[in-house]
Amino acid sequence: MNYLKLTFDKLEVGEINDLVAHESCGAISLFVGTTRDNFDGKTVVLLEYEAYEAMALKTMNQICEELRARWPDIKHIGIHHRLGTVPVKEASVVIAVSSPHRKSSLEAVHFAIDELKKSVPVWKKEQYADGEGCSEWKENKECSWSKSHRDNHIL
Amino acid sequence: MSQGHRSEEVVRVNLLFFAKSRELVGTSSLDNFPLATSGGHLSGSAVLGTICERFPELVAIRDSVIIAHNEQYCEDLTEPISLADGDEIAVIPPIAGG
Repeated sequence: MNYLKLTFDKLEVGEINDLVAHESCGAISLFVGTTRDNFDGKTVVLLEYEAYEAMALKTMNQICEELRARWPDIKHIGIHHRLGTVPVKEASVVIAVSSPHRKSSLEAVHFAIDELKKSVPVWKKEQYADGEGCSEWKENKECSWSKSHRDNHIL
Repeated sequence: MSQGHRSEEVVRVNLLFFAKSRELVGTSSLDNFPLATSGGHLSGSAVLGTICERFPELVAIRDSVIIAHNEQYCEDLTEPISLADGDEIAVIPPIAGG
């Protein structure tokens, strides 16, 4: 099963772990992306996420298909992304994969978060503390049309 | 009109704006937005250009966004897109998920 979700609620890592747990599996690997309190020396007080929800779920599903093609023994996949306001230190994304042996799930989780940053239409705005310039839309360097990606791949 | 030349055809699409583009435009969607196509075809950059004519505030970020057509990225804006009434066109600033 693929358990995909976009939610405005707080992500509970244990719940997502339990979703992918299976008696035939000896491993669950988890990636938890959390919100940092600083950027470029500025204090981040708040993060706001938004998504193109239908397309985000579609691209998350494509990532699952890719994982299953590369690691056919994967049992369950869970990808939950939080939207709306996320206080610092809390999880913005949780990816969980179960497999009979650890190698597949460990590799798959790493691949999945890299792909998510590249292809899932979700946006994040950082709000900074007073006097440090109010807010900024972030760009993943993995995104091929981001400024940093373009600067590093001179067209 | 010369033979084989495709006729001009207005297609009405539904626009979606996200993140910075949504803030600049001041709305998250606009239905029945007319696009002048050639037989239903228009390049991604021409689509974006038409959107920027209607919303000049987007010109500032035009070179850093792509569009999605019916939930598919059109990363190469030079490619022609085959459009029909009711299609969804989203303005996609650089993504920042995770």
